[in-house]
This record gives sequence, structure tokens and C-alpha cells, in this order.
Amino acid sequence: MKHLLCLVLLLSATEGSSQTVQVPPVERHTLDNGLTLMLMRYDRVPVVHLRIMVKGGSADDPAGKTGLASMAAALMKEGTMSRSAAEIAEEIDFTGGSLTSGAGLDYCAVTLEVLSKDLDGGIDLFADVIRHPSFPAGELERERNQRVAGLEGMKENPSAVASRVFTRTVYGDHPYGRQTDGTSASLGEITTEDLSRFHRSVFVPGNALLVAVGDFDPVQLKASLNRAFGGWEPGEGPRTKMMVPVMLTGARVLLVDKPDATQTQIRIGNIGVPMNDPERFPIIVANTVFGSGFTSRLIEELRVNRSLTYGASSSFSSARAGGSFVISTFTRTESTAEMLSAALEQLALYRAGGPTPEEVEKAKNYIAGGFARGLQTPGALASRLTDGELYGFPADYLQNYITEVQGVTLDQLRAVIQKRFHYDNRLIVLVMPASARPDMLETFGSVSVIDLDAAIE
Amino acid sequence: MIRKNGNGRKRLLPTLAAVMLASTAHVSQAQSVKPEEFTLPNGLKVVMVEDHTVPSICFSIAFRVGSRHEKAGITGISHLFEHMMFNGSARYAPTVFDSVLEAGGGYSNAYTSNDITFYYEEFNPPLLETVLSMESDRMRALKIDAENLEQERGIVKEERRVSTDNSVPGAMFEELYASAFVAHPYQNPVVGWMGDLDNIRVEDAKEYFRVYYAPNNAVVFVVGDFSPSFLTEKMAEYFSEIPPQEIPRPVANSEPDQRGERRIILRREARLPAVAIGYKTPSVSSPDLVPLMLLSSILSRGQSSRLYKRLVYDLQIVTGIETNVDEYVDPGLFTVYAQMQTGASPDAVEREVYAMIDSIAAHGVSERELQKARNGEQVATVNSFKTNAGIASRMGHYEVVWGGYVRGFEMTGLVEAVTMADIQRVARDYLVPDRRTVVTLVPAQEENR
Repeated sequence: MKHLLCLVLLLSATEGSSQTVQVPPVERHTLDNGLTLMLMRYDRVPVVHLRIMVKGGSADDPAGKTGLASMAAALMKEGTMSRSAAEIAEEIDFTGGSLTSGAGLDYCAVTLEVLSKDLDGGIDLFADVIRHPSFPAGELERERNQRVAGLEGMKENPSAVASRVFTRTVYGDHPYGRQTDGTSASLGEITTEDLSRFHRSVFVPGNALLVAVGDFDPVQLKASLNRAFGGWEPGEGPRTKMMVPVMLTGARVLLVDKPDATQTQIRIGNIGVPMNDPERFPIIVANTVFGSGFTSRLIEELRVNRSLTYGASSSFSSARAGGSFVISTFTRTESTAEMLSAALEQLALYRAGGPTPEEVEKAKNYIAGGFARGLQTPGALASRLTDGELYGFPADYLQNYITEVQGVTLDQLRAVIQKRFHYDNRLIVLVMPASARPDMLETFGSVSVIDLDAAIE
Repeated sequence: MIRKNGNGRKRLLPTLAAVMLASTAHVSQAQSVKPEEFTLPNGLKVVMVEDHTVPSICFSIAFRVGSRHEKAGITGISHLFEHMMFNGSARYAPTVFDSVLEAGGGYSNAYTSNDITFYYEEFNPPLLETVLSMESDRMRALKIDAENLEQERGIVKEERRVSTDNSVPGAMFEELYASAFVAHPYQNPVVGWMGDLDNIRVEDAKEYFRVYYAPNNAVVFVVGDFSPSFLTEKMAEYFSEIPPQEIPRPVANSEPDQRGERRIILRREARLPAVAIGYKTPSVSSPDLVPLMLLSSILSRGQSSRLYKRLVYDLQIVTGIETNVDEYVDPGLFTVYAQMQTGASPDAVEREVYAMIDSIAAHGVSERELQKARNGEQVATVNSFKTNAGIASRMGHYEVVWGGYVRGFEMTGLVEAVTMADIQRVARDYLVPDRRTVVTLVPAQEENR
């Protein structure tokens, strides 16, 4: 049986490596006011997806007003100079389409997706929300109350608590450690003037990329976008440079006390890398072998061999100046110590031995297949295009992605595993009842315990 | 996102899961999808959709079985069994299935619900024949032994802890269905009761496999970059020799009419109160189901919907509200779920929800509201045609639950035919106190416990 497995794997590896990807061509234009447009025709479904991305996001929130970028972005669609929140909602809902706006660490984005037949009205609404939000005081108040209640509700979601506490702690004082959705205190400090000021500073044509992907007539769409955005007053946007986050040193365990939990949520990790790190592709491959997909080392050991969990994964998060590296899993409370030992053992083994050539082949093909399938929807294609701009990837990065992945060598992998899969320096976050704390917890790092309210503040 | 009653999955994959569960209707888009079908002598039906947009194939199998077919004492076996399907068969050792797929640029997944168990994998085209070999091998000779069962039992219990025991909406919906149904198996959670998960034995799993995983109880859907003539030939080669089984006895629907509101208190650790309401509705075979789907859309789809506008914007007493109609083989529920804003009482929310329903029952909805709901269903349909996996799962859902994948292509007509009078009538007939079950979450503070 083992023999058969090897044969099949070898065969499939060859098959997989032939993966190619057909990315529809992109037309790029710059309007007189500096706004960059990218248009990609893709007509599998009669839908058009518009996405505008501006640089500047939650990491730029002023101290004491965390949550500002996220609030401002969200409230852009809750009122403009000529439309109330209710009118905006009615207009988009009537088409059956979607209008979203939000902030990431390094950017804000507004998206609109409608059937092609509804595109003209859609562009009008999209431009209005981007150019003329009015930030009504009543909507700010409502959104603030919603978010404060949302933070309260988050305390019943152990997975969200674990991720939030991990991010906040691993970055220390770095702006990436700030809570992008704010705290009940910081949300209380945000005024409508703050919202307008933030919007004015980042939503300017010279700081924006507008992407359209879908089933449209390019000549007509260009004319419509010109009409809707040509009169947008020029501006360059902020030129802030984010520091590179500093690695957390030593081994720390932070236990968040959730007395009623019957399962422990676990995060283990440290600082990761900037999105455009030169070793980006070796890291993607190395992480896939270790903790992505369904045959990763973490899944094999923690789920298949030991039945300790339903899910286990590792990831390098995306951020311009430096994301994080985190192993995420959960297990019943009584198995917490066994799980920690097992997960750390896998990390140590991976660092010591690196991946096998078979694992690497499999991971490369898995990444290539997923990448190609991930380009099936207009929304996904639009995100990929704005990501390229945000993170400074080459213009042809989508076409070359699979080649880059296939070109990663074993030596490169061994090097990035040593450098980036931190073991001795690590933060462990546990959300569990403090009363069930394992006896040997100190062996995993110096332990501190906080209660649930402190975790969300 | 609210986790509805059921739908344990092999693994966490929220995006695809959302596609899977999306309530659906049909639009012109489907005209470009041209399914071809044939049935092997052993009763295995195969539906093919050739589409060369991306160099990838989605191969899926829908089995006509779910938690609806389970008996007391072994609830959760459908879902537990779904897990066991990935752990090896006569010619393929455990973990080979996924290794081969991933090495071929693919992945696999599956979901179990009340009425259907659906398996699917996506992979690069050259792997097709290997996939047929592996799929036919597990349909013919799945490895079912104590070791395999014990391994998945532990994993599924963790899944239950994460999705239900440690989740407020998960616990609320479990309570709602357990209280609303007194005879029908819809009272049981798809993931199973924790005690039953410990009670399932190897013999139960073997019998389950023999009865429900027969070729004549399954339908295969293949979508993507392949040649139909090649697939037709190879399906016969790999699947023809799997023997059919006697068709399982139909599940009896012995649920008596509900005669009066049922009110349930769920006391557990929580920061904010919540309320879940369920009304008994008809099955997919009723012409009233599509009007109920549109009514749900009018009540809660988007920020301009009736309940969202009233409770989130105007009164600001909930942080979110969702409604849904079960698309089930037997009568299910029309559900409403809301989490309170700090300081708001569930009573006030209930009053508002009932007033809104009564107003629709008394005065109906506007033509524009109805058209908006129709448009929403249309776009949901277009969205389900964006990916190969979306098309396959849509066809699987309609085939097993609605009685034919073609039904999925007829939804546009059904949605367009719904009138304002239909909406008013279904609100009046179904969303009434006597058909209602209400679960209220009362936060139990630590010191009181």
C-alpha cells in the first residue's frame, strides 16, 4: 500500500506542475487628477465588480482614537451630501448587489458589485460614497454603539478573543498592535471631524487605484468613470513610512480567563515578514508544508494522529511593514498541555529537519492549483490587482506567481524556516478557564493571566 | 455570521461553506450551463457540465442521506460518517486521498446537513482518472474499523465543542430545533448529541455505509475542464461494478401539528441577551416556500430591509438580525435570530418582530419591496454560477432536496411569479403565534452559577 502511494504521488506531482493560469489582460489609465484606473474584462457571469483602494489605514490611527480608519471607512456608506444612509441602502439593495467599505492595517477599500445591467447607477452611487460622504452625527453615534456592543459580544467568541489578544501582544508598541476596531474607550473619543479629516487625507485621486473587473464595454465604462471621477479634486495623500515591527523575545504565555469554556483556543507565534519580502515565495511554500491545506504537518499530527482538534493551521499574515506568523488551533480544555507540547514539537522537528522533497512538490502544486481557482470571481481578481499596487508587486505578478512558486529550492526553504518559524522566541495565547490551567504551563514560557474584560479593552 | 442548525463539515472553510448554504434562485445565467446526464446500470446518475473557464475540475457526489435518516442513540452518525470517508479504502491507505489531490493541485471537502451529504474536490484536469479511481474505491470498499472510528469521534467532538457548546448562536439554534420538533428527526443537531457521539459503534457505521452509500442512492456532478465523452467512458469503467442496494425505507414525517407557542429559556454565560424564533413552515414541495423565501428577504436582506431598518437603525435595540427559511425535504422552520444591543430587552425585540409580521399579514408589502426581493434572489443565483464548485453544489442541493437539479434552473420563473398577495398570505398563514417556538438567552453571571 505504501508503494502505491509513492507511485501515485510522483505521477500527480508531474501532472500538477503543468498548472498554468490565464489572466485576462488589463488596461491601465491615469486620469488628469492622478486617479489610476485598471480595467479587466471577464465575462463568465454578467457582473461587474468595482474596487477602489487607497493607502493609509488602521495602523495610522492616532493614539487614543484607535478604530478611526475602520469607523470612517464604514460610515462612508452611511450618508453623503445628497443621499441618506437609508437611501444608499435602498439603492444598492434594490439591485441585489453589494456595496462594502472597510479599512485594513495599511489601506481602505470600497467595493461595489452589481449585475452589468445596473452598472451606470452603480457607478453613480459608488462615486458619491467615495467623494462626498457626510458623516452624519447620528450615524456616528449609532455605529459607535453597535461597535461597543460588538466588542461586548466578542467576549463570547473565544476564537476572536484569542486572535485579538495575540495581535495586540505580539506587536508590542508597534501601530500594528493597535486594535483596528478600537476599544470602547477609544471609540468614545472619535468625532465627526476626525472622520472627515481622515477621509479627506486618504481618499484623494493621487493616492487611489480604481479597478473594474467583469462583463462590461470598456469604451463605455471608461467614459462613465471619467464622468464620475474626472472632477474629483487632485491630491497626493499621506506619505507616512511604517517602521518594521520588532520580534518578540523570550517565551511568554498569556492566559485569558474564560471560566465557562470547555475548549481552549490556542495561538502560538511571533512577528512575520513584510508582504513584499524577497523570501516571500519560500515562506509561502514553507508555510504550506507546515500548516496549510489538509495534509500539512500540523493536521497530520494534531488532528489525524492524535484526534486533539478539528482544525490546526499556520499562517503569515499580510501587512506592508511586517505581518505576523501564527499557529492557530483549539482542543478540549483537559488536552491543553498535550496540545501545546505536540504543536511545539512539530515546530521543533520542522526547524531541525526541514521539509522533504515530496512535501515540497505537493505543496507547490497545491498552491498553484488554489491560486488558479482563486481567480474565478471578479471580486477575487479585483483584490489581487489592488494588492499588487499596495504591496509593490511587479505588474505581471499574477502571470508569474506559479513560476515563482515552482522555482523555490530546498535550500531556500531550510533558510527561511530557521529565520522565520520562531521557536525559542514565542508568544502563546490561551483562552480557557484559569482554574483548569495545566500544572506544567510554566515550562512553555513565563505565564501571565488576564480576565476577559481586560482582554477586550 | 450565524451558524444555523447543523451542517457539520469535514473542516473549516467558511467561504465555500457560505456558497454551499446560500439560499438560491435562478436567473438567465443558467442558460449558459448545459448539463448532460446519464445513469449507469447500477443506478448511479451522473450529471456533467463542461466549462473551460479555468483549468480545473470539480467532481462531487451527493448522497441522499443526512441527519434526517438518523435514529435515537446514534444521532450525528451521518456527519461522523462523512469524516470517515476520507480515511482510506481497499486500495488507498488513510490520508492518501488528500495527499493525491493536493499533489494534483487540488483539495477536497464535504458537508452534511439534515437532508443531504455532499462531497466535492477540485483539482487539475490531468488528475481526473486518479480521482475516479479513488472515489469509486471508497464507494465500493470504504475502510471502516475501530481505529478509524475512534480517531474521527475525537475530532467530531472537538467540532461540536467549537460550533455549538462554545458558540452562542450554535447553542441557541440547537435549542430551537430541539424544542420546535417533537417527533421529526429535525429535532436533532446534525453534529449529534455529545452522548450519542460516544455511543456510535463500528457495526452502526458499516450498516449505514451499506444502506446509504450505494450507487443508486447517489448522484455525481462534474463541472469544469474535461471532455464529456472521456468522462462517460471512465465513469462506466470505474463505477459500474459497484452493486446497488435496496432503496432505504422512506423517513416517516410524524411531526404533529403544533398547537400553541413554545417558550424556552437558555441560561448560559453570555454578555448580551439574544433571541431565536422559529415558525413551522412547509417543505420544498409546497408552492408557499418560494413566497416565504422572498418574505424572509423583505424582512432581513440588506440594511434597507424591514427588520434591519426598524431594529438596527431606528430603535437601535439589536446589533444584528437575520431571518431564514429552511429549504428542507420535510417541513422545517422560518427562523429569526437577533442579538440585543447592550441594555435592550428581548421582550422589546420580540414585540417589534411580531408587529412587523402582523403589519405585513394585515397590509402586505409594496411592489418595490417585492421586486427588490426578486432582484436579490436573481443575484444570489448569478453568484452561485461564479465557480465550478458553486455550480456543482447548487445542482446537488436541488437534486437531493428539491427533487431534481432542473428545479434549480426553474427558480427564476417561480420567483418572478410570486405576487404581493402571496407574500401577505404566507405571512398570515405561517408566521402565527401557534406555530412559533421562542428561545431566549438569559445571561447567567458567574456568581449566580
